[in-house]
Amino acid sequence: MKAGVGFVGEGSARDAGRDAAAEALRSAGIERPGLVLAFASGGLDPAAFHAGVREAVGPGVPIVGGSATGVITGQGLSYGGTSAAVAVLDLGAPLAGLASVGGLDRDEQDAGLRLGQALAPSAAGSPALLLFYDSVRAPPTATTPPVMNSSRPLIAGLEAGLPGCPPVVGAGVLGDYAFSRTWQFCGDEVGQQRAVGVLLGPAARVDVQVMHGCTPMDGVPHVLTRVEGGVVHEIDGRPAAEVLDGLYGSAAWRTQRPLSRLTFGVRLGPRHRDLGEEGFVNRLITGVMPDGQAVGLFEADLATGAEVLFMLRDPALMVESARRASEVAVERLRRRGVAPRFALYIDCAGRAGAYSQTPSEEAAEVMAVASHHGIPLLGFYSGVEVAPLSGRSRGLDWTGVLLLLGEG
Amino acid sequence: MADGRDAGAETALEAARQEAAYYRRLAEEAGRRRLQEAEALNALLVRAQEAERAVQAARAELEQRVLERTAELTATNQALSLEVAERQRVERALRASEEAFRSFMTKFPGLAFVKEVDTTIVFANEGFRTLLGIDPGLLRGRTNAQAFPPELAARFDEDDRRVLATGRPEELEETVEGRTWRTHKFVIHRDDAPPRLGGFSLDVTEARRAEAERRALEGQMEQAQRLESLGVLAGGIAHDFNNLLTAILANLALLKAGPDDDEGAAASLADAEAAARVAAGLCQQLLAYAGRTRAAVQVVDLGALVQDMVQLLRASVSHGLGLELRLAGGLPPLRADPSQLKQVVMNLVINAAEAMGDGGGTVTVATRVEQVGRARLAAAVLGDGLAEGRYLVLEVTDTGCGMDPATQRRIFEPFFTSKFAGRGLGLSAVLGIVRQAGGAIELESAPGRGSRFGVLFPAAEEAVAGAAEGPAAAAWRGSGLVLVVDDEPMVRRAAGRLLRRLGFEVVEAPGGAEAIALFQQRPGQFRAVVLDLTMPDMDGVETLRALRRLEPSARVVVASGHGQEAALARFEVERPDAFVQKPFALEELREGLRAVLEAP
Repeated sequence: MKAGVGFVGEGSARDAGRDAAAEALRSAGIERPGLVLAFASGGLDPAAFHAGVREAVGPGVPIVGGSATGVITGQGLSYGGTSAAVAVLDLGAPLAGLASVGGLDRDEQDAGLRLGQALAPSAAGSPALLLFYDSVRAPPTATTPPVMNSSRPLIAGLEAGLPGCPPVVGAGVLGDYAFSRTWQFCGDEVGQQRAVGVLLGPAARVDVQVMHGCTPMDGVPHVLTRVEGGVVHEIDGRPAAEVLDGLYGSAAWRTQRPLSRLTFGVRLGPRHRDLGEEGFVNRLITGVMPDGQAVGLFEADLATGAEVLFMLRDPALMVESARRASEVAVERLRRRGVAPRFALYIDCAGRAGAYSQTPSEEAAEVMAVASHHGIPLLGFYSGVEVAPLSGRSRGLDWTGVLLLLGEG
Repeated sequence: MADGRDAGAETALEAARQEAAYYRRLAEEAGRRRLQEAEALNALLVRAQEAERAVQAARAELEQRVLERTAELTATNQALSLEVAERQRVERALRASEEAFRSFMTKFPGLAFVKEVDTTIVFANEGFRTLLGIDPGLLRGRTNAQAFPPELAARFDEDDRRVLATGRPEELEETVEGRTWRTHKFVIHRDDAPPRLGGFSLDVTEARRAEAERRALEGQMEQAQRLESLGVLAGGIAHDFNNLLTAILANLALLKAGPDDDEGAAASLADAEAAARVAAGLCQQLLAYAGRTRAAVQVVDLGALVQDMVQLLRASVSHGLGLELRLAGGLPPLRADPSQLKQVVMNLVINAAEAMGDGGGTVTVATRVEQVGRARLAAAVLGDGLAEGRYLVLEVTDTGCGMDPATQRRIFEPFFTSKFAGRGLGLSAVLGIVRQAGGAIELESAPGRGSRFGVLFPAAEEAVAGAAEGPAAAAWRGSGLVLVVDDEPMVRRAAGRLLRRLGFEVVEAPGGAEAIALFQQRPGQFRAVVLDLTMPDMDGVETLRALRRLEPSARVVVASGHGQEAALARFEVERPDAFVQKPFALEELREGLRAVLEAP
């Protein structure tokens, strides 16, 4: 297989799409790719960008991707501005399947179901399903946090529609840090509130690495005693915000949206066992709700009675884990006798240096590893990351997901 | 026992619970501290990041400002550079102009100045230092009255103010301390400022001196040429005089021997008188031609002047050549010195006659008036710069040998001659005279085809002053006592007899002194005096002055063999009342006395 990546940091949307795709084609020496992954910041007109990519790669080539708060490539990373990156892939075999569905904002599970059903006929033997969907159901208002589309029902629907669903790797896309509406590239379509899935062919060799760099704050489990949708009203029978006041020792945290250090952690394994980084799933707390008592969840996949731990995000650990985990993933793939040919890095928007108060970019660690091994890298900053964890595909927060594709 | 074990177990369980709660509190406390420390650290990092962002923003803004300012400065610099370059170019041009002006003014061989309307000198060039020894810096800021002696300042004031008032440039010539300056003064108009007076002066002293010398030389040359042409004339005139004297002497001899009858006596007398009159006319023309007179420009009738020269001209071409006159009547007059004009005619005729040599032929003298255009004037010698208009044409043509172009180019040079005789001054003198008269010379000639000289004189507007013709001149007679003063006894006696024939009583005096004595002896008795001009000891001029001192109203008729103009020109203080040309007869004396005695 061959892959090439192009990056454009300025210019009009159409020029950005055309130039990034052309650069990707040139760098890989590919004339007609089997799959194009394209991501552009929310400041670029999505239709024009898509048209630019189409102009470069030609008709009929599936273009999959969507909005991103920034992009990460071997040439550089950029977020907060207008940037775009395109990867062209020659997978050596046809894609197993590609489908997209709309109506996420109406019913994520139904959308997932429909998507799974659409992909089901060609899913046999696929080692992975790439999934990109609209993460923003409704942008924030002056008084309310944004309302997100939930990955859990989406994935549940997908798995229901697609029995034997392969591991799902992808993202709920996000166009900017204001949680504005996002766009999805679904082959020839450019739309909103959509989900697009790509089934890799059976010959594809993949490896997935999840990294987040969070650790349990104190290891003490708590029960969410009242949860309604994405809102946690009570923890251990007390108003959620009051509990957090006690943890912080003040109400200063209430100005944070989302909370920068504290997340809910869901233990994926038995108690009293050192699970390590992959033993926990983080759930971002979007902030205090207008009633001053409850807090919001970035993903509404926690229900009343769920046991959670308070997790602390450790910037230093985040950076360290990005480097270490990337190396581990490459090494792991190679141990399987597979040569890595392409890396897709789906990185939580909150992990960017400007938002995690780190002196360096953790994505730079991934770039360094990819560069060191000569692997073309396409990454983007997302709202929700999706990856298999503890045997199940899940929506993740505050996570970096590295997908490696190889041959051998 | 069992209860005891149960109680012990309960106790142990409670202890374990308490321990777990303790460790939970410890964990929670440690967790809170971790969170709060992390939060505090985060807050610090946020603040640090915000500070960094602020610094970056400030730096970016500063850089942007610097860029903008740099762009502005660059643009300003470019504009300034262009402006400076333009200014430097202008300054260079200005410096070059000033340098050129300064250099010009320093090397200008004269005085240059600029004055305000109140005559304050704002600029005076170095010429004041080099030519007059006056520091120009001292002149600046001073008015005429402050800078120059009173008389000179007053003259300058008058000139300056007149030029400023009229706005017309003027060319003035003034003599200061023995030097003659030709000064040009003009108005310099300025925008939004009063005008100024500009001027420059050139020392023309040497030029004037050279001009005077040139004029003197020209006069000498004319005279020399005149004598030269007289020499040419001598042969022919002597021949004529011989013939005339032969006629006179032969007739007088017949009368002396005793005439055959009265009719024969009358015929002899008439022939002798006619011959004598022809001789007198010839002499008169000779005197008029050869007489050295000062240039006296006057209005001249060219036709009459040529007509008066006929005998002389015929004498000059008498050796077998024809002379044909084609003199147009009613010509407008011209302004020239008649004497010089005669010299022109004579020289051209002599030149024509000599060009024909012994081969025979005809010299034609023609006069007419023509409208002459600029092109024709430009082609003529001396014609450059003359205005087109009406010109009197004196044309002398011959049928002689003609001239090739090389000869034509040199014939007006002094001392150039193609003849065996003569010094080559003839045509050179013509050129000088025509130049003075403001005329031009046309020459057409070719070897073997003769030559044509056309002299163009600008026509004058004035009419020629004609002699008043008195009524019944022949019948007039006089009376009273007339004093005849002449050193030549024969002339004195003849004059006495003629006056007595006219009715006068006559007293004769042989010179001026005697005439004065007679006036003193007989005061108030003489009605008129006939006074010879040329006398030894005391000439007519001196005698007239003395007589007028004795009797201011004394009426005097001057008689002279010189031309009237030349003769009268000698009387600068006391002017005679009439002139009688010698040789005179009864009619001439009658006219002279009548003019004197009938005048109011």
